[in-house]
Amino acid sequence: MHHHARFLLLIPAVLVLVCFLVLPLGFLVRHSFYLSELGQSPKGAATLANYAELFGDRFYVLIIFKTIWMSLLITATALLAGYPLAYFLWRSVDRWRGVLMVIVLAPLIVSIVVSAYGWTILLGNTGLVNQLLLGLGLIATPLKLMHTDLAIMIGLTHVVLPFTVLSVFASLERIDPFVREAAQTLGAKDWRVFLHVVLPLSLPGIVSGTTLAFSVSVASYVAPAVLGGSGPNFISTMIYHQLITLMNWPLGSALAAVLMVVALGLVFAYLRFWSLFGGVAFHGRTAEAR
Amino acid sequence: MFKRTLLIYCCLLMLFLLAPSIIVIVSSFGADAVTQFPPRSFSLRWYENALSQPIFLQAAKNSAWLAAVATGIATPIALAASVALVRSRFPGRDALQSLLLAPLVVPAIVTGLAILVTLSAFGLRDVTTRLVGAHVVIVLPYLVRTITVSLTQIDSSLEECARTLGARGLTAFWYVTLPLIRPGIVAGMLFSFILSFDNVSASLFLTNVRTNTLPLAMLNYVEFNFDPSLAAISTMVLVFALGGAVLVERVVGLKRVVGG
Amino acid sequence: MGSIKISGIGKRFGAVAAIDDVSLEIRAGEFLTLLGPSGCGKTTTLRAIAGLADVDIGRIEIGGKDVTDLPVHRRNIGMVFQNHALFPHMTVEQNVSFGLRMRSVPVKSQSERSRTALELVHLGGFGGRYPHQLSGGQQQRVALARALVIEPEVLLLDEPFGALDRKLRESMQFELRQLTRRLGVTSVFVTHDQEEAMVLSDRIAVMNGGRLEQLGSPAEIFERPSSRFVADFMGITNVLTGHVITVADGLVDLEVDGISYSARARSSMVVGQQCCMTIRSEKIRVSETAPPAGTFAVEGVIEHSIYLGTTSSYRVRLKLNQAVVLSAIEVNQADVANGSRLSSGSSVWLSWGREAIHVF
Repeated sequence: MHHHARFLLLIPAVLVLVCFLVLPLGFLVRHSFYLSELGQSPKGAATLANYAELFGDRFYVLIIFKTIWMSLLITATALLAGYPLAYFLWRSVDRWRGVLMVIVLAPLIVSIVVSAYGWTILLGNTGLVNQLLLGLGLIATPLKLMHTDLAIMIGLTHVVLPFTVLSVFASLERIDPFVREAAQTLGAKDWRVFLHVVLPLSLPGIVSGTTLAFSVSVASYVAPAVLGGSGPNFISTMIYHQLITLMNWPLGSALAAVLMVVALGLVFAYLRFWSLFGGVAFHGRTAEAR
Repeated sequence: MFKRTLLIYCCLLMLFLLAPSIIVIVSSFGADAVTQFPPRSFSLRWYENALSQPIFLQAAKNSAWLAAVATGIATPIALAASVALVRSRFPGRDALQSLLLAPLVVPAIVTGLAILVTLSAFGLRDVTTRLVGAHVVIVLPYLVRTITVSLTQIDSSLEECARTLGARGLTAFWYVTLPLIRPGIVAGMLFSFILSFDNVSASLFLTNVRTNTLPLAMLNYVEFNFDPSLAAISTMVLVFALGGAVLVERVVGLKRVVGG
Repeated sequence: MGSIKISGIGKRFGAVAAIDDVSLEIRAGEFLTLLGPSGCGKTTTLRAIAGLADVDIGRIEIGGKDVTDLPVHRRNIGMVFQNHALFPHMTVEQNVSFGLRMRSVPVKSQSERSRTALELVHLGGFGGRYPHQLSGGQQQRVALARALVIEPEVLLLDEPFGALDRKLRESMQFELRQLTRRLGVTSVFVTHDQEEAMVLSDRIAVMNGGRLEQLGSPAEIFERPSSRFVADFMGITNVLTGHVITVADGLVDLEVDGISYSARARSSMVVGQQCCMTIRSEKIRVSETAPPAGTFAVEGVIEHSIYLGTTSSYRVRLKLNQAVVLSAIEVNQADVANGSRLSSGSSVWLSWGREAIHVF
């Protein structure tokens, strides 16, 4: 096939994405600039009223910041906690690799609803965690773990760990083993090999893992809905509330638009930063000069 | 010393990763009407209960059908797109690649809502169309990623060689390239099926009372019920998903799904 | 200081012995090549010296010190890998100074010594570049500078020029030899290319199946191979197998398929003993006329006449023994205008002196 004909192969994909992603998103944004009565079609002129409400009310602003802040925290935790596991996976024997892979992927394979449900059992007042703490005499009355921000953090860190672990792992795998050996022959002890060679070369994996983790966290609905408190929560639960409970589609759309801008904007800025300052390590010029 | 600490830490972390699943599975065998861990006595009655509820059975059927259809539609599209992306150069290729992977960064809940708003505005209130459309969009980037990784890993000169031996473009692709990337496609399809089956965010606003997906039915149930029926369903879903994942790992290797 | 002593080392990978009872002493300042086909154990031996591979039995000493149990980073060696193994995320200068950094050399001294090392390999001024911006030959030179700047006791090189094209390889070989001579550093080089080994080495250790076959200078190995394997591997032609007919006064007559050859005897040869012999191609005289009576000569027909520019090579099938084809090489005289002096199909006489034959 000529290269030009090959180009045609993309048409179905582009068509699907335009019809079911690009256009709808455009519509959504447009929708957010109108007002409407309960469940009825939007009418009247375009207005910024929805956004004014969103950014004017402390309640909504708080939710937006909380979503971002908690997602950053969750991402950082998932990276720090997951890096050692990625390293372990990298140095592990082939025989165990398969099993370890499945375990690392467990949160993705197991439905998010199932995981969240599991956390409700674990973190409840009569849950396992409280049982252990009471039994060990560390506390006198059960800790309120469910319906808290902490519960959301635990639940979401659990969900995004596979992303950070596997991204870092993929990066580690790409490191030329001879480069490690060269460092050793030049006198570097194990931890120095890690610091000067392994860690910098795993940068692409760190960046892609954290990007994915943040994107998933910021957009997630189930964990905040099931594990979170009834007060201000994540943007996604607020969107649900606006749409289903209050039937305020335009405001819900505005929130959705904000969520999208937050997710995409921050990711874009993050990647741009690394592109500019990541240097040779980030741009993955680790392949040999061919 | 370091190695031992690392091992212990990783075991604990892996326990953390498996914790909810283990809890759910064990609780599903509890006899009491209130879910608890550890259960005081064991019974299978909640499995009976779960399987006897038409809501769950219907929802499960819907989810399976939806996942199969979405995967079935998305796979050939992704395959075609991947071939175009990997094997040819044309202006705007990078931009198109970004477009194809965009759904990964756009929040699924936003996608779902956008589809609802748009199709409603056009008067298309058919639930099936909305759901299939949303799910295809969700799984497409995963399939594209998996297949492009597979394609870049095989030697493109193999297909060229087939052509010098007289095979026309499509034939060469069919007999040479396709069998070689089949593991990657299979892995992608399985992952895509699981992703669609378990999806909540995208389907959240797109279902109605008559047509529900299993995860959403489960979410509704947990709001008002405290018995382990949910644990029973969860266990059954989990076993299927895990079985599928293990199968893929054995046959193909899970690294393909997330590597790259 | 800088000498290496390997005593009875062995290493197995499962059922296969990668190294089987190898003992070797390398003098300080010497350039020794481990030569052999793939899988002969040469790379494993090199890595054992480096400490990148553990040996199951045996000891290794560097500079008189037993390093067998010493980890890699404490052995004070410099190693050049086959694929250069430069740190891709560091500049050339950072790469070269890495070893100095690990040894806590003061920063100012680091940059001075790195600069000197880069100039030594003719890459002065390249310090700010990144590995991916260099050509293959330049990358390998940086790797060399990186290994040498730390002034190691021993320099280890694992087929460093394999990926380079011929001309580049030759110039790098020359540069390497100059450098090691100048610095006086003990060097152990691994290659499967016998020509490369001959160009570079003070001594060559030919290995086969994990064992040391022969150790000696290039001349010793080429002129007096100790076994059929070594002869074959060194590309020595005209290897014949036969048995001893008579032994007397340091001379021996060998019979190979009906033809009797006379040669200088090796120690302890007995009648009836089977042995191999080689006839040096460049010592065989080829002539169209029969040599004077009393001179040993055999008749044959030229099967192949190959013009190689400086020399011509004739493949001659013997008349008396159709199974034997001898290879003779002669230098082309300047006044021969049409290629080789003799052409295929010519009937010729081959003759040589006793010293052309080496028996082993």
